[in-house]
Amino acid sequence: MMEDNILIEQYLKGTLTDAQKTAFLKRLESNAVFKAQVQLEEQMLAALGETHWSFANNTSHARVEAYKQLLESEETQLVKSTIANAHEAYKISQENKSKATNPIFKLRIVASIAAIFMILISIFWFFSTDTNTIDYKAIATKAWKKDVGLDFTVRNGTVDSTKVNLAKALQLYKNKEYSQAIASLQKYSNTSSHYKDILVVRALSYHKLQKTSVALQTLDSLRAYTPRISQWYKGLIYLEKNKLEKAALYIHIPTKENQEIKLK
Amino acid sequence: MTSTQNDFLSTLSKGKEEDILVFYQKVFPKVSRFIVSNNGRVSDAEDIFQKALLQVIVRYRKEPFAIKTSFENYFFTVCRNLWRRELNSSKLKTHHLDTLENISDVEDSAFAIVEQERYELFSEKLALLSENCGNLLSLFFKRTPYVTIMQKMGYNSENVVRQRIFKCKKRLIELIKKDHRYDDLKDI
Repeated sequence: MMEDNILIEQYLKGTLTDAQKTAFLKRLESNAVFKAQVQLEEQMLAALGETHWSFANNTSHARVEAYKQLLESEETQLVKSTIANAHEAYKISQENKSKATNPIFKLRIVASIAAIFMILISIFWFFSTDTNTIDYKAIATKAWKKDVGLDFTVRNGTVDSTKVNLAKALQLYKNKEYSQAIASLQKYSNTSSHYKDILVVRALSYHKLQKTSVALQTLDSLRAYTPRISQWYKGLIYLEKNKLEKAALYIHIPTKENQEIKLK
Repeated sequence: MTSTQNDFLSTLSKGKEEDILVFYQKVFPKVSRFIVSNNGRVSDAEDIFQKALLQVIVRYRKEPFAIKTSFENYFFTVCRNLWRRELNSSKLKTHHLDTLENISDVEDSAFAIVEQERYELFSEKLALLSENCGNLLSLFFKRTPYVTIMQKMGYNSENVVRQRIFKCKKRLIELIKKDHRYDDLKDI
């Protein structure tokens, strides 16, 4: 019989035969001490191995729960926004720094001084000026209201059960019952009809539940069916998360208040 | 932990914008260079840097902890691990989307913190082993074949290498299990 240390090592390296693996898994199920030993070795291999990572998955663990509460607290939200502000301030300081060290920029300063005179004159000709502060939130809200990709309708008496369920899921989504919307579409796979529409409702529901990475992943799957809708919502989600650089990869972000978001 | 590092961590944990900005100027370029040279973009570096800062502050506010290196080096390791986690999680999502569907952003951040705590416990104990054991296990955890370890470390046979690794690993496990943090982290 193989020694436990060799057995565990071969299991973690994936070199056990099918029969050995079956016996190994059976022992894992019935022997808690052995299971803890395997789990620790697996975690060490992943955490200390540089190329892999040891993922936790016990959502009900007291320590995870304590951190979740702390992360959701008002104080942490405040720290989060302070970090975001510091990040913006850092970016601006870097931009200014690179401009200041650029010789072309120095020439531009001279040109700018001359231009200031022109600007001062031009001010007299305008009764109002455009503001540089753009309310991205308002612009994004307008874009979300377009409900891109959510225009599927069901005629009375239709026999297409997928379409009927899809319409119900959309209604749940609109009623802000996002978990139910996802659950109602759970049985469908990529062989189902209207799969494109199913992915849209799923992705948006995940987004509303703050499961951003799953929402983005679902939109990545949607790309194979309808790249434009996938791109549109990825852009809007990033914009909502205040990640302008990433949002700009997918959508044209307005530079003026009266402009609308457009797809790239 | 030196008092300077202690002060710095404690100052940062107060979450003042000017202190965070100073830290950004000092450390972000190094983190950004690392992520960009490891299949990432500057925007990824920005995400990771912000997540790492939040993680360190939240942890310190929950239970002030000690670091044995410079704070900059420590923070860089947190960023490096978060990036390693991100790259591996993308791989996981490609194959097991369903299993990850129920994880919210907050849950994911909570997991990232306990995983970092677990990593710190393991690496701290690894550093307590003899130099020879440390080197052997580092190669072993990097999944280096026994034959390569044998040649690199000058052993006579693969079997000797295997036995030596077994002994070192056993010692490491003992050290980990003796630490009070292990009880808190083992079932996660």
